[in-house]
Amino acid sequence: MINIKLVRNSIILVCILCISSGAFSQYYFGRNKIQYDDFRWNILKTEHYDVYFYPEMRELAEIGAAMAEDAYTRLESKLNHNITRRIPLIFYSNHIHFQQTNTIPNFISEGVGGFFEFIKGRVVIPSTGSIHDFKHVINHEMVHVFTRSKLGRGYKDRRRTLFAGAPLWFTEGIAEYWSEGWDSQAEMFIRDAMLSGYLVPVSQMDRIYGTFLMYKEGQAICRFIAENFGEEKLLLLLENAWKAERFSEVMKLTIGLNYKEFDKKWIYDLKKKIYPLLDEGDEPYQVTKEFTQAGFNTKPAYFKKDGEDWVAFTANRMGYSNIYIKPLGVKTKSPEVLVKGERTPDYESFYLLKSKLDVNDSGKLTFISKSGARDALYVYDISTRENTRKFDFPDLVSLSSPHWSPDEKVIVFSGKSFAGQPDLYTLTVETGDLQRLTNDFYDDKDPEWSPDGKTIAFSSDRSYYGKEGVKNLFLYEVLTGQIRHITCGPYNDFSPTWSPDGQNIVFSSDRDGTFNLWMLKNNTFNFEPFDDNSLVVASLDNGDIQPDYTKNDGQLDSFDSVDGVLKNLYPSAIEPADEIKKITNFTTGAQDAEWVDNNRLIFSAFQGFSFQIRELNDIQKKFAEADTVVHDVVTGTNDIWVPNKIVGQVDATQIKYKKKFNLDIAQSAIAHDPVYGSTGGAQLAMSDMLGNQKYFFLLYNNAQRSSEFFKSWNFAVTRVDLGRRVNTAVGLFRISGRFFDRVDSFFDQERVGGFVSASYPFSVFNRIEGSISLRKERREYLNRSINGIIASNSISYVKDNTLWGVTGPVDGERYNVTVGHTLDIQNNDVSFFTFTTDYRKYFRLSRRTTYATRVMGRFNVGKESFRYFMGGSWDLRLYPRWRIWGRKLFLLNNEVRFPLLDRLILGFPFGGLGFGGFQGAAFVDLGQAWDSEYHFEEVLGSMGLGIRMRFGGFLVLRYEIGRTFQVNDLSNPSIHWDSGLKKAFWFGLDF
Amino acid sequence: MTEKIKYIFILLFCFLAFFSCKKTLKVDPIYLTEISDEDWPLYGNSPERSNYSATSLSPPLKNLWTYKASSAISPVLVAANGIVYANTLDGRLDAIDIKTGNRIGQIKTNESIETSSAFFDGDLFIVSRFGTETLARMDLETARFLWRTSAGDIATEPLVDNSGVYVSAIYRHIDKYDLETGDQLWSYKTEDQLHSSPALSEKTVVVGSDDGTIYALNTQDGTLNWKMDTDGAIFSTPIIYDGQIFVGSLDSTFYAINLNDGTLSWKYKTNYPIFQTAAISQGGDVFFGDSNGSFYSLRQDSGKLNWTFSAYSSISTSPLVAGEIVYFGSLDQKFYALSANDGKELWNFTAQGRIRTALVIWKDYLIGASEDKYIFCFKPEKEMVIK
Repeated sequence: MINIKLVRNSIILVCILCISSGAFSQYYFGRNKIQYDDFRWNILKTEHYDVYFYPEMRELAEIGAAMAEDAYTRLESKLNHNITRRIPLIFYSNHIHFQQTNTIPNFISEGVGGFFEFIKGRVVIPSTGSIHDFKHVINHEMVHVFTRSKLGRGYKDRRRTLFAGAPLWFTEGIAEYWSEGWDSQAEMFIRDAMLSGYLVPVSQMDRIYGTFLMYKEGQAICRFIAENFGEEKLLLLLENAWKAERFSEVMKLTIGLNYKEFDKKWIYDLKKKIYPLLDEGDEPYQVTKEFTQAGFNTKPAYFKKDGEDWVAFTANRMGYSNIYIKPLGVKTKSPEVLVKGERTPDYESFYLLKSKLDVNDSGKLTFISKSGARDALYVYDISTRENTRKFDFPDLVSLSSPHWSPDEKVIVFSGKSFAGQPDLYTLTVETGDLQRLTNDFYDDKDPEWSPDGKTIAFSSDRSYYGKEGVKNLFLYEVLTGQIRHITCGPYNDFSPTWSPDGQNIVFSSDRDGTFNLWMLKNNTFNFEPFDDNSLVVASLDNGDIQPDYTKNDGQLDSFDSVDGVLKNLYPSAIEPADEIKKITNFTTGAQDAEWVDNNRLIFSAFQGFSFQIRELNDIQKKFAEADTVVHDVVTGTNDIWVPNKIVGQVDATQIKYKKKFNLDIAQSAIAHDPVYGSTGGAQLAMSDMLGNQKYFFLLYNNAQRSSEFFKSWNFAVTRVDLGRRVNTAVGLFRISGRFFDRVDSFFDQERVGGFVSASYPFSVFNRIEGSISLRKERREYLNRSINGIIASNSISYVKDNTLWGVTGPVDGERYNVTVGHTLDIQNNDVSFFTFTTDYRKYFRLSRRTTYATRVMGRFNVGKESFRYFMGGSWDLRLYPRWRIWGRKLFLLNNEVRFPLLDRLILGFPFGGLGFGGFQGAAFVDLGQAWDSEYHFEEVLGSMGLGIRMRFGGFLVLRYEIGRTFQVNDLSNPSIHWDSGLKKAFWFGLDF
Repeated sequence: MTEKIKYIFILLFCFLAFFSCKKTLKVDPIYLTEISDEDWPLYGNSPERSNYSATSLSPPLKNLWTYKASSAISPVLVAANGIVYANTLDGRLDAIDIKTGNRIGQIKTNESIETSSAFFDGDLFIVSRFGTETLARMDLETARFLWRTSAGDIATEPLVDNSGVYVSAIYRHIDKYDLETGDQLWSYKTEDQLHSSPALSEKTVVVGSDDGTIYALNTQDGTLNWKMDTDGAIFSTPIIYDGQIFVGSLDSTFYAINLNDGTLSWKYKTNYPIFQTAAISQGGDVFFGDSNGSFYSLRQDSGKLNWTFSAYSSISTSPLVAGEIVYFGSLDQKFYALSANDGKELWNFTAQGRIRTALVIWKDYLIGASEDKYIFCFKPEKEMVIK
């Protein structure tokens, strides 16, 4: 029998949540998703897509649209399937804009490259600056669109409603494999997983559900299936997915192996391929000197402080990313936090994996951080621990990898414009003057000034091979603006770094299949400007490399422009006979090298699924003795690659975006109980394509007799606008029915009215919000009634920079301070003020242990104010739930949170059952509620232990055991302990 | 006693009611005449899978009736004696009167029927799952199974002729069964799975496999005559004409192979995988489509391109040649009719769903199906006007 009261109360609860001031701020706390920019959306209609873009990024949208149509053609023929609806494709020119999207309510982290959401079938993708990466993500998401459609079709055609689909490792793996194939990054991860012993078999893939490792393993598995069983088997796995409830059986049907059988074959194959690598190569930690040992540590920058060697670097060691410093060569000293990240508006993100740091000889650190609507470049004095300068540029949204000039006056960095174009810039620190060095769509990164200040080395996809997405190294000649090749070939070369004497460049490259450090000698960089603007091409003649200077007829000027795209010709900065040598032979990966002196390097090494900074010595000897030597040859061509655009190739029509709403969610519930009668209702949610405007509708009827049917209709309509920085909500409602108050027992209530709410975020971490509500209210108690027009106003200030663990916050702080007033403007039957404050702070005791504290006060002062209820697992623990009440309340919680079990697996004859992490807690709570009727006579307390378990990804189950006590006579306190142990089982996140 | 009799009658009534409600495929004998050239009794209309009909059916065509099935329809229909037999992916087999579009019978099986049936000698040969048995012969007059046998998991079209029943099973074997008894006469094991249906000419049965190998077996004893490798999986069914095998591969190549010795006669490279079976005209042109929507006509003797045509999406059915018209369906939700001589589009019909089911002809009726469960019957407009 369905509990009709529960159904009704649930509907009412949803209704109240919708109409309360928190409708759009999502939670009582929570961070803010801020719309900094007012995008003027347009739609480019192509054959299969509606491409949403803003005018500033028109060219990028056309390029993306062309890539999307290519992806469609490729996947249509590969899967023998098409998409019968038009696909909404929403582009952003950079990741900061992408983080503002309202197409999904979730916060979007740095690591999210794009997504395909199921409600409206939208594909939402940011550009990172690299055309190849943009193409990769477009292809990846389109694989999702096609595979989901094909899978769904299989079930629908056979009238099967259970849509188990395919497991996430497979859908992500196939998306990655069919968009990227096999790449060096995937190779690095799988090698490390095998050698470090954390590779997860397919049969246990739920252990790493949703993680980056799962993506890479999925990609590796799809590659293995394609190479060993045939590419068509991947297609057949999709076509056979409906045949069995478990994907292991689908694999058995398709390739003849279930999960366990597949694991044996796959893992054996990996062993055979990867273990022999240790014959000739080494794990980084075995052959280099340790500098850091815990967390993720990247982007080292060497500097001298008081004559000693130091390193600044970015790291995430405890949950928040910070900038650290640590002396080199002092093993026992822990890194010191220099700049705290992810907690304040100035330092929202340091881009741990993307942006380098640099420190000049005067001890000034320069780094990039996200700060509000765009990235900012900081100059920070290490000795005084102060920010000395902060630069942000109205036209540049994303910045990365700043580097000081030798004279410490200028900083070079990569910048991306509002339109998404990535280029190199220099900033004169004293004046703030910005100069653009390059001006094209090529992705220029990792600039580093040469010690003589004459050139800047950088990594870019502007070479002939860039169309395949690879980057080579280039030199920018400061005086003339000439750009020349340092390296050239179908490999990824990046993070160039000059030795202090300017004689060598070390860089990372995947020339041998994974990322190692390579080095060039500088006998070539004293180049003279070429008189005849010739292209230097080398040819092999009986094994000797012969320079062959070729003249081209007036075509070699640097900046010819065709269709707005610059055609650059890049002579070589290296003589053909020059050698590029591999100076490390790691089995996994090395990057972000930085010279300490002319014979020592520090770099970031990948091993054990983490990045650690390591030291490498005897560089010159390593170079001299290196086995692997290559000679790059500049490929001569007049046309460096240009991406296709949709304009002029496929019919495309551009129209201005107009909001069109369609249904997101519709649900209903009807129940009948012979005692309580019938109730039933429906909820609808609608939004526009960009998710900026939403409508919520609630309609239900709670009549208990047929005569009441017409007057028992209740509704709530709310419109939420998220399209601007100020989020607003406006609504109308009628809520009536019988309610229950623990103090006043049953009462009938009718409320008809409306409300307006607004929320203004100051930053990601804090906001102010307020609401005004006006309603006609009638309330009938047993012994009294209230009838009037009630106006309620409130204003709140919220801050939240917490870091979350498995069952609740583990670091940071959050608080909510609210002031409100409620008044019966008709009869003055109701008039009270409300003051609430809820402050919570979390102190990290160790990486996995936290001390959490909450101080909460709630006060209602005046006529007919409502009572607060307390008691139970959510506030004053071990007391009966909601059995303590009063118009004033205070609460103090103290809790130490620690891990108990990371994973529990129970084995049964028929299989196993696994549970996620169990967390423990030890707590002491104090609190009390009182008013004129229920006096404050004692402070209630409890003390005990608790266990929490996250279940099913969203539900946290809680169990507490302990004792309750009271503190009497506060002038002369004494503690009275209640007898016996109290226990409580409930659900809910930690406070 | 009177009460007992009453209960017995009630039980008997319920029993009879239940069985009379049970779906059946009993077909009126008026439908069960000898197979003629006007019928389309199995996939490809012949053991050679030529997809050719001598019936001339000139567009424009008009939709005569539409039938809604219980679920999506399998990729192949068969039509014989005025009935079209349509298998659905939720496990039903519908028999529909071609002239009226009314269903005249239905059976329900335990599993999705992914393939077509084959009509032979008044009986229907059905591939589905009946418990562990996957191949059955049903007497349409009595609606009873004459035999059922376990033939493995089959995702391809059965081939039935006087010599026996040939089926290629997914899990690496092609088998021959006795027409009368259903006993297995021979079985040949392949290296990889089979998603291609067998074709037969004279004493050779030919099939393609997922590893790109084409096998030619002796129909008598199942011994291997020859095999030939291509570079991609063969999902389409080979067709045989004039001593040549024609087949498309997922390696984006269309092959012509000598039936006797497996030597390559010619090949034609498209840019996109070929999933569907081809068709051949009596004039010696071979027709096929690729998954990018390109439709080709080549000379069967040389592979020389006659013409191409572009649909808006993948060509998702095998073509059907009727006289000088070639018909096919596409994922762009259209049925097309082109002139076999020059590829000119003569007619098209847009359905509400993708076309994944091959067209068949019976007399002057053209029958096809779309993904959204509809079966369409078309007739030439001129004839309908006269009527």
